[in-house]
Amino acid sequence: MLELKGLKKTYKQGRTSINAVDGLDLRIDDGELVAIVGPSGSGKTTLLQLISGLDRPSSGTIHLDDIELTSLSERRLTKVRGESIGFVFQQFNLIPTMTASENVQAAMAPFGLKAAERKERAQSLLAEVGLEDRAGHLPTQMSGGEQQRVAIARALSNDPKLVFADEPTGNLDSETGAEIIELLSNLSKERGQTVIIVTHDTAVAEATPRIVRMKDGKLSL
Amino acid sequence: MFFLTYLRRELSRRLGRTIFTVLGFAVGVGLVVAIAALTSGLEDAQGEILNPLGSIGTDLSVTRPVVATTQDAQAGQGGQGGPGGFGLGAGPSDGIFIGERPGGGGAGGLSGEDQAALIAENQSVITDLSKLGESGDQFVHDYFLPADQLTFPEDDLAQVEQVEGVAYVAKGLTLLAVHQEGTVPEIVAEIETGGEEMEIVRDFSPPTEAERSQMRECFQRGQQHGSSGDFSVGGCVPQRLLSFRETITTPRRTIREALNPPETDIQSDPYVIAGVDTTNSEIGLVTESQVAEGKYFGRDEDETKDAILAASYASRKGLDIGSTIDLNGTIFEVVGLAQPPVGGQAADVYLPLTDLQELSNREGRANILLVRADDSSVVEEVSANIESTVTGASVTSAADLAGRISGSLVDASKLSDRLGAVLQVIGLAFVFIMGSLLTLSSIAKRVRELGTLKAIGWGQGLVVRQVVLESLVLALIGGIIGVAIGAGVAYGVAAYTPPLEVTAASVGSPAGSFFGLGDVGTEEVSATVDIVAPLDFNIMIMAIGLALLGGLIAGAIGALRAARLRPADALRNLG
Ligand SMILES: Nc1ncnc2c1ncn2[C@@H]1O[C@H](COP(=O)(O)OP(=O)(O)OP(=O)(O)O)[C@@H](O)[C@H]1O
Ligand SMILES: [Mg+2]
Repeated sequence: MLELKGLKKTYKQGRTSINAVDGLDLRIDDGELVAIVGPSGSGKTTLLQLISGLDRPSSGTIHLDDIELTSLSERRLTKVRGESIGFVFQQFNLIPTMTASENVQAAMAPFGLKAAERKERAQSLLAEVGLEDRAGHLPTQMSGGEQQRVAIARALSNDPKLVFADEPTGNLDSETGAEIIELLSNLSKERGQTVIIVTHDTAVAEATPRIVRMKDGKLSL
Repeated sequence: MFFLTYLRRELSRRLGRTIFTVLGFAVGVGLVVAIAALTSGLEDAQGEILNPLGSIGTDLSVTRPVVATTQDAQAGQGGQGGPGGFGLGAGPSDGIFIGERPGGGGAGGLSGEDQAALIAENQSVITDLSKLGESGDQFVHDYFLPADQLTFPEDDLAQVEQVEGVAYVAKGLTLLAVHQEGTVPEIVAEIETGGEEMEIVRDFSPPTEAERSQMRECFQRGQQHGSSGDFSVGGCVPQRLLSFRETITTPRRTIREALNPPETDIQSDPYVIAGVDTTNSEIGLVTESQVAEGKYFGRDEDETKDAILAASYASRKGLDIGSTIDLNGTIFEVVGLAQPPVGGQAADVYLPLTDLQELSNREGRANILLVRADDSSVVEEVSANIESTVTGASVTSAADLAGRISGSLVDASKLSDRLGAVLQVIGLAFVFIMGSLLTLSSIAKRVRELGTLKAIGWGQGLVVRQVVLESLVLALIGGIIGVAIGAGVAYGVAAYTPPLEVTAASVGSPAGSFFGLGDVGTEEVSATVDIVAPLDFNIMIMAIGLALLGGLIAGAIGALRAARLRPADALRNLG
C-alpha cells in the first residue's frame, strides 16, 4: 500500500518558485495498475520521482507500507529503491556498454548474487519480456521497443513491489507502445505488482483500471 | 564480480575514450621518463668524464705554486742586465726567474735545505754546451726546466700524510722538458756565473699558440746566435708571462759557454714529463687503468727502464710500444700508451718517479701530491686541513677542475640541469592535469548513466568504486605505455644525438701551467661521449604513481560529484 499525504514539491528558479506538486493526497493499493495523466507541466514526472524516492518532497509524507520514505537516509532510500521499486524510463536509460543480459544483471549487482544465478535470472526475465534471443545484444543493436522491454526486464529483476513507468511509450510508435503497456499490465496481474504509468496517451490510460488526473500539481477530476 | 565485467565493458566498448585517456596519461608519463633518463644520462656522462682527479684515483691534488713570501716580491726586478750567459737570467728584462740584484739576502721564507734544492733544480736549465762534447759533435740533450710549482721538501710530504682524513698520498713530479739536438758550436768561453739573486717568477695564464711557436723559434735562434752572450732561455718567454715571486741566490761557479757559435742546426722541442709514484698503480699521475695499450710500469720481466707515453704524443713522435727513448744517456723502453683523462694530469712522457728525480737532479723531491681522502664527504675538510698545515700548499679538488672544462657536454649538462628539473615538473604536472581532465570529462558524460545506476539501487559507494577503479586502470595502462614510450624516446634521442664533446686544456700541473709555458708540448684534450639514457626506476614508479594519483583524485571527485546527485537530477542530465 502506498499513501501520500500533503505532498508538495517546490522548485525555486531564481526569484520565482513553482509548486510542481502542490499538496497532494493519494492512496494506491497493492497490485493496482494506475495511469497518471495530465497536461504537460502538470507535475506528473515530479510526482513519480517523489513517490519512487528519486527525489525528496519539500513537505508531506510518503508511506510505502509502514516505511516513511521522506525520513530515510540516502543510503536506506537507495536500498529501498533497489529492493522494492522498479523503473521504466521514457529514454530507456540502458547502460550503452552492457548487453541486454548485463543491463538486467546490473540491477541485481548490489545484492551479491552469484554470477551464475544472476545470469540465469536475467535470462528468464528476458524470456518473460520476449527477448530470450537478444540477451547478448547491445542497446544500439536493438529497436526502441526491444530496448524498452530490456528496461522492463531490468525493472522486474529484484521482484519489486512497485513499478514506475514514466511515459514508457513516449519514444515508441503506437503499436509497439500498446505492446509495452500490455506487457506491463500483464506483469501487474501475474505478479501482483503495483504498476504506476505516467502517460499522455489516452488510449493507454483507457486500458488501465484506474486513472489519476493531474493539473497544476494537484489532482483533478 | 559484476563490477569487473562492467569495467571490462567500459574499457573495451568505449575504445575511443579509453585510448584517448590512456594516451593522455602515457604522453605525460613518457615525457617525464624520457627527460629523467636523458638528464641522468648527461649527469652520468659528466660525472664520468669530468672527474679527472677521480680517474687517477684521487680526490685532491696538492701543489706548491710559487708564492711571494718576502717583501722583495717586486715584479720587473729581474731585468737588470749583467753578464749574460747561456742560461739563467740575462739581458734587460728577460730573466725568467733570476734577478741580478747585487748582494742579495737569500731566499726569504725558505729553509736552507729547501733553498738548495730549489737552486739545484734551477741549475739544470743552464746549457753548458761544453759538456755536450767537442765542437762540431752531434748532441742530443734533454733539459728539465723548473716548473712553476716548487717541489715539496720531505717534511711536507710527511705532513700531508698526517693530515686528518687523508687516506693515501701519492707523489708526483711534473716538469717541462726541452729536448735539443744539433751540433755543438765551436767557440766556447768560460764564464763565471752564480751569486745572482734569483727571483722566481710565474704567471698562471698559459701562453697562446702564437706565443708558443714564438718561443720555440726563439729557442732555436738562441742556439744559433748564443755566442753573443745575451741569450737566455728566459728571453724567449713573453714578458706577460713573467712576474716576480721569490728570491734565491745561486752559487758561484764557472761554466764554459759557446760564444758566437756558428749557425748550427740545434732543434728545441718542449714537452711535459712526469714522474709517477708507482707504489700504488691505482693512484698516481698515470694509473694502470689509463694505460690504453701495453702495460703499466714494472709489469714486464726485463731490466730496461720503463716509460709510458701519452698516446697522442707517441703518435706525433712516431713512437710505439717497444720503442726506446734516450734521455741524456738513459734508455727507456716504451711499455704503455696512456689516454689521459679530460682535464686530468696530462703529460707527454711518464717515468717512474725515482727515474725522473735522478734525471732531473731532484732526488727525493716531488711537486705534486695526489691525495685520496678517507671518504668523499670529507674532501672539503681535508682540503682545508692540508692548506692550513702545509705552508704554501695549493689544493685542487675535482670541483675546481670541472670549472675548466668546456664543450658541448658541459653545455648540455648545464642545460639539462636547469631545464631537466623544470621539464620534469612540467611533465609530472602534465600527467596529473591531463589525466585528471580526461577522467573528469569522461565522467561528466556519464552522469545520466550513473544516475540510472543509482535509481536502480546502486549506492554511492558502488558508483564511486566503479568509476575510480576505471580511471585507475586507465591511469595504470597509460602509465605503463608511457614508460615504454619514454624509454623508447630516451633511447632514440640518445642513439641519434651526436656524441657530445668535452674539451679541456690538459692540466700538466693542476694549479696552472709549467714555467709560464702552460701546456707546451701537450694539447688540449678533447673527448667525445656518447650519451646513454639510463632508465630511472624510481622516476618510472613516481610517474606511474602520479598518473594513478591523478586518476584516483579525478576519478573520486568526478564520481562523487555524479554519485551525490539525486537520481532525479542525474536523470535529467542530458549528457
Ligand atoms: N528541476 C526542476 N527545476 C525547476 N523546475 C522544474 C524542475 N523539474 C520540473 N520543473 C517544473 O515543474 C513543473 C512540473 O514538471 P513535470 O516535469 O513534473 O511536468 P510533467 O507533467 O511531467 O510534464 P510532461 O508531460 O511535459 O512531462 C513544470 O512547470 C516544470 O517546468
Ligand atoms: Mg514528464
